[in-house]
Amino acid sequence: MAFGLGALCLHGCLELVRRPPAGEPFGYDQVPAADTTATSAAAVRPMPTLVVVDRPKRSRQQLRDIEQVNKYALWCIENAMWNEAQSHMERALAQDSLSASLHNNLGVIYERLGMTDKAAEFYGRARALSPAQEAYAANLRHLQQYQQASLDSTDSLDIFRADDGSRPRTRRPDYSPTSTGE
Amino acid sequence: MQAITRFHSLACAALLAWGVADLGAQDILTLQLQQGFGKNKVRYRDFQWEILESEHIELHFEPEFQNLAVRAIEYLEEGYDHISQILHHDLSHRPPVVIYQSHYQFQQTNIFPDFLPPGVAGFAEPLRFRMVVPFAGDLDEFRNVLVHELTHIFQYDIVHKGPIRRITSPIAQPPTWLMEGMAEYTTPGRNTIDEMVLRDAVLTDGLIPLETMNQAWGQGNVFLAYKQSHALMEYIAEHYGPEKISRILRLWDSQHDTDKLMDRLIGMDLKTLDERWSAQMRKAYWPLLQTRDYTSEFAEEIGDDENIHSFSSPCWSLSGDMLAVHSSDGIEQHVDIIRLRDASLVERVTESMRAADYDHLSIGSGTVAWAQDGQTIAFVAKEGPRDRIMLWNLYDKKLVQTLTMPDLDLIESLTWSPDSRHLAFIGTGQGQSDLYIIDVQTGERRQLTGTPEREDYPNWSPDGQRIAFSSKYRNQFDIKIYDLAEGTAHAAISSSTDDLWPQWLPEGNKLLFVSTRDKINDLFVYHLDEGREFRLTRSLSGIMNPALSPDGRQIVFNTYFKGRSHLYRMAMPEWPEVKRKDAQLLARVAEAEPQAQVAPPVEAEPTTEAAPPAPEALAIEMPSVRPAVEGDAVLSDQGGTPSLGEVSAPKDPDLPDDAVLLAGASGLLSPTESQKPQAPVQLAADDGDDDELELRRRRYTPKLEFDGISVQMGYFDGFLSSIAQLSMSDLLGNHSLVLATDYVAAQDISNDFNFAASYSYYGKRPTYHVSIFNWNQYFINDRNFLVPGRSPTRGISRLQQRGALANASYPLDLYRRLDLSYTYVGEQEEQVSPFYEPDSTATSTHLFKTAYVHDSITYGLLGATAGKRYFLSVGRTLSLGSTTRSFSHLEFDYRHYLRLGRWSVLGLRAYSVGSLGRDALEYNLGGPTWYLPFYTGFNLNTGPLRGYPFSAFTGSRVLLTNIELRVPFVRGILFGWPGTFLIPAVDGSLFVDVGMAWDKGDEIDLWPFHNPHAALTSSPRQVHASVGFGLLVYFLLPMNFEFARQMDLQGNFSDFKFHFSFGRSF
Repeated sequence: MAFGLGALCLHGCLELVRRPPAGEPFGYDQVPAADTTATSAAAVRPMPTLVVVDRPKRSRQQLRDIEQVNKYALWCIENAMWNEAQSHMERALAQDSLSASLHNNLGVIYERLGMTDKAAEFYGRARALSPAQEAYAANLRHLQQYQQASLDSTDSLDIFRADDGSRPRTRRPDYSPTSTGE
Repeated sequence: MQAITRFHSLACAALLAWGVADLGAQDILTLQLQQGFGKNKVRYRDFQWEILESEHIELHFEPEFQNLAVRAIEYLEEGYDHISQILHHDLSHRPPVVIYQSHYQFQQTNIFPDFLPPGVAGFAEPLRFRMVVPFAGDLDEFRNVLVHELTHIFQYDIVHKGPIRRITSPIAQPPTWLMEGMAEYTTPGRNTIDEMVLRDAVLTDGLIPLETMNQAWGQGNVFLAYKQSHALMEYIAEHYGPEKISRILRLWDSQHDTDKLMDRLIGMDLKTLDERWSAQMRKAYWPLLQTRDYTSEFAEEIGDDENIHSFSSPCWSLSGDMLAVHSSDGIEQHVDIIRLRDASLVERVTESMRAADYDHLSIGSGTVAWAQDGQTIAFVAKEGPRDRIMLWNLYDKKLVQTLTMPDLDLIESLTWSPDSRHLAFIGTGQGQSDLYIIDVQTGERRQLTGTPEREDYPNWSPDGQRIAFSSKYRNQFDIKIYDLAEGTAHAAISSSTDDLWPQWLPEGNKLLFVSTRDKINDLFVYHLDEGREFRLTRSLSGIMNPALSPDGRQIVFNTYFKGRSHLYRMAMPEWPEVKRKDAQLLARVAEAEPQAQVAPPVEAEPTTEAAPPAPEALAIEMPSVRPAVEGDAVLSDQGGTPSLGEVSAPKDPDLPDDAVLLAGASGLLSPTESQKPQAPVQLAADDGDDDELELRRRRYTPKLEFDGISVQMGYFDGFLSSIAQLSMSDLLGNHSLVLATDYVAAQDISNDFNFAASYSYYGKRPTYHVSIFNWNQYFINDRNFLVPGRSPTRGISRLQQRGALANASYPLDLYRRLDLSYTYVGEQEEQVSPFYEPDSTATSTHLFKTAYVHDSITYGLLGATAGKRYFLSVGRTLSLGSTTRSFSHLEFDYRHYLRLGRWSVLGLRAYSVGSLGRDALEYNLGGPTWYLPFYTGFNLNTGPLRGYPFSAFTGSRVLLTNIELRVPFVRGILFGWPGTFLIPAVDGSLFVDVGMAWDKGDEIDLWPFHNPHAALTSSPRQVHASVGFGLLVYFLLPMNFEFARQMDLQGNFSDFKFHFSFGRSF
């Protein structure tokens, strides 16, 4: 059931690829036109581990490849094959390491697989690569809140402990991370 | 025109049975209007035949594979001596043997008129002693099939005393299991796959009872039936002497009862023979249980016993979560992506592709391969005259590329390079199979090997620099490694048994492979640096098609258990564990040996004389050069017919029997000690055996010869009918001539003489057929006469039909064709009894008709199981005056069969026909489709419209729709009395039929449907409907017992009406 809910959420958040607007600075994935006007890439502080790098614009083929991998990952997730989704994402990132959506979506998969540290790292990279994309920042924020809450939890205040006193849940019941397309 | 009883129905039936229905069995014109379905036998190629004659054989071949032809002659002459020695017989005629360079070209043969399915390896026919055998890529298999079929020719010669085209020849021949068992007995060797099937049947109590063995060739496990028959012959030869084998055929001459024949032969009936042989088999195989494991003990099945699909050719996805496999549910074959954990279907790669993108899938080892980019799946499918590699993209979920190689007919054993850009595969063409690689982006292809011997199972190394593959030499597979940079191959694993399916481990210095060390396929790992090998399994069932996961931690493989293939997965042990496993298995055998008194059945091992080639790197020949290896394996090299329990492999006296082979399998393997340098190669054209065989070569020229003469006589109600038919064709079946006469005599009419002559040509892709005929038919008319001195008698009329037919058919592919025909029929009806009265209304018809036909259904015993078929037929007569018929013909028939579950089928059909114009024909509607197997009469019947009398309605226009659900009731009921017989299938059906027939100008009332309680009126015409159920039984042929009620969809139903009919439902 958890997988099913996650898949539904991922479906709803998938965005179509659009061509980047003219003047888009190199080093960032494209973002929706409305967002670019609202947020300047330079206004968002990049993650310390990432720097703005110069790189050529994405070709249509590159964008299409990224979209395909993202769609396939969703299909894998719908079919509860997280490892398969992870393998394809990692392979795609090996070929195009500057795609924000691939980083974000791989973060989603890592989080689902319980690798929260790696998930946080990849959410962070996604946010750095595409600061205007609120979904990436939200994923990172929620994950960090969850990690912090886990650390702060005590026997007297454990929001993740089941009523029957069993061990803490490993999933937040009311939140699914958001994956995106380019 | 009403359905009229014909007098010479018996004669008509005989003609139909001989396949010349268009020569007068029924009204010529209506037969020409009936459009048939059926798949096409496409002759893609204009064959150029030549003949090689040796002392005992006349071989037909094409010059482009002359080397293979010379080899075939050698095999056949050796086989002739071998069989002659066993059966103590020399052939009375030199058999014509026709060989094809691939199975797909073999499928184009005209010697067998029907479609030859992929599983047929060759055939021999008793009429003219013709043998037809294709080369399937492996010379040893080729030789075995040649010897097998040649044995059949010997059998026919002994039983029928020559080709049975002679009228005096006895027709009956011994049961199939005796004939096939004998042919297998004379065929050299038994491979581990044969052993596997037999062993499984013994260990799982699945042996076919001898008394029902023959029926296995119709609806059972045919492969097991072959192997069991073979083992029975070996048992008889071993226990009662080899001479008993030849005695069987001679005894058959005087004793056709198999029970009594066996009693005379070996002093026991069939049941006793079966019991004793079964006991012998159990003694031979059950000791294996002590030292071997069921597959379920060391691996986990993917799916389970209840899973209806069988999977083969497994290959891994990028992550190892999924597998791409060939799947079959007994009706359809597909390439599927399944989950590893539960074998559930994730994606059907080949959904809706059959008939649209290919003719059928090629189901061989390694005909599916998943690229390491994770997104491209390659599979092999036959389209047109040859195999193609189809590339399917996982992201797009569609076919993205097709690779065709015009010089290669068969493609097998695909493997991807690590960069997913190249495919290595085994290609077979022009009588030879070799290893190739192809660049999927540019289509550039490179041939890596060039020997006549078989290569198989290539696997690309993780660094992309080498390809490991199995290579055959003297009937034995070893594993070689081809270095792509150097262009050379060297032996890597050589043992005294077959080494198959090499798979690189990720570290690149070890190979997982299957070996047949003690005649059971088991998994081994070979360490290339250490030169040592380690056993991973000791399985009971045997292991096939292993595939290592991308991370090297899991293995999936096929095994054979309880009569079918299963897919298993096991963990690949870590390296230290591999060594421990090997030691454990060896120790277990040593411990268990004192209890294991009987060695497993093994055949004679090749001795050191058949040693594999040297490990030194050998230069690979250029593709254009096709060298032959000296010292080809001869029959004696195969160990003859193996005897159970015999072990001829060299043994170490310090080790138990079973461990002898292990000792060779485990531990240091020193190729240099067990191998000798490969024999020098020669050009096949220089093969000196041609001279030894004294071959004579000439071109093939067609010459008509008799296929047979048939004489049938019948008597009915004062009429004597005598039909003689003469069939002739050339040896290759390209030209066919049929002459038929029908002499009719009766007291009341003058004697009559009918004839028809038909010529057909099948030598090229379009086929042609012309006929001329003068054919008269008699029927009782509706006139009554008072003849002095006799009781009132009814008049008899004669319909004279004379004319000519010309048909041409052009197959677009296996499933689609265009038909074109011209028919001229002159008809005159006259009263012939009790007195002669000519009718002045003679008519003639010139009909041109064309049709487009599509048929891609699959058939079960009781009807279609999947697919669709339809035709559109259009015809027009040529009006040449008032005495010529003038009408147009338009007919459309569409049928679609949807599978519901494994066996249930929902059949949907829409049909319409119209005969338009001045002399429009009348069609009949009502009742089941077929009332009798040979319905006699003017047969413009349409249907079924069940619940109504046969041909209840007539009209020049008909509309009909049928919906029928067929569900399986029973599969395979074995009856013990009277006699032992099998009813293979019983289905139930629920159906709804709706239809109407009307003429031009009729007033039509479409709603409501006709009330079954109201009287039928000619005007207005109404729609008729019925609903019912039926029982469909297959016993010798399909029989339908159906109960239907008329209905009007307003709640009114008639009583049930029962129909019985033969033939498959629509």
